[in-house]
Amino acid sequence: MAEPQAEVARFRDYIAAFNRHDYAALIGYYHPDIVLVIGNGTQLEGRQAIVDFYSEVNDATTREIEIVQAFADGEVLAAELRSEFLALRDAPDFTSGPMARGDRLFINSFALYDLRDGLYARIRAAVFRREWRRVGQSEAAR
Amino acid sequence: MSRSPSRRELLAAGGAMLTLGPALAKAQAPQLPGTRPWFDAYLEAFNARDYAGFSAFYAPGLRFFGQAATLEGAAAVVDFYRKVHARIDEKVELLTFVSGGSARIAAELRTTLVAREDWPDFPTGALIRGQRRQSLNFAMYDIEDGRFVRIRSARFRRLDDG
Repeated sequence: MAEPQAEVARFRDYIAAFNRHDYAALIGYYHPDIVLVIGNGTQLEGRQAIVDFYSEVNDATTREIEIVQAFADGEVLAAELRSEFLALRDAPDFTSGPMARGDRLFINSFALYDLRDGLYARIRAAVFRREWRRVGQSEAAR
Repeated sequence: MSRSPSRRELLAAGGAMLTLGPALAKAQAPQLPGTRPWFDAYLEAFNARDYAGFSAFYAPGLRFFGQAATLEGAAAVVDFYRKVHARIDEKVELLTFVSGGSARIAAELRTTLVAREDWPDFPTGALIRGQRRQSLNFAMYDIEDGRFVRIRSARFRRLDDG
């Protein structure tokens, strides 16, 4: 069992890999039996399913994840994440709702990462706040 | 004259100590803020509707971002729960606990609501008398000086709406 601080450091490396779309590196963090449940209820099982899903999402949008806070107790890591999505093209089927090119979506989420054998075996995220910034929307309208 | 205890009696006594051990440990353990026993005590008071008990965990300036309300101040949160509990039975169970030291906690909570009367404009959806609603929520607690200063809850999943 890794020390909590080491687990958090490893998590920062994981998010960095996520932000640079380094899917080969991401797979190394996932347990073979991983289950991921994202904020909209979508459930993905297995490493490849997760990578395939994010490859598709990242084809239509860019996503930058910022770690607001993260802490671990050796069995579970808890994180508050702030994600910014930018639509690179119209994405009518985007998981959180239709996006037009240039739209931005900011999501604050609370996530729990269950650890098994030093790998993420279950990842679950719940949306705390969701804020849209649509193309052409003025500052005053936000 | 006293006799020496038999092996069987010694084993029985050991078993009794093992049974009592966790309870004694819980009663005697210092409830340090941010630890599981401390948080268990908070939820125990909450589920018992011990308003003085659970509000002792709240800083006066608590900021509360719940599923049904956003509130500021410990008194406002207690007042909110008094009103809710007059019409709804609420039980909160701790499923996952992650301590971030004495300053923060993350928790997975299963909340069960049972309406004691119709509540058509309940903030998370109309309830009719007897209706049971259950959800899983992830909550983040910020702690300062041994009290919650911010509580935020995010809905992970609604389990049923029967």
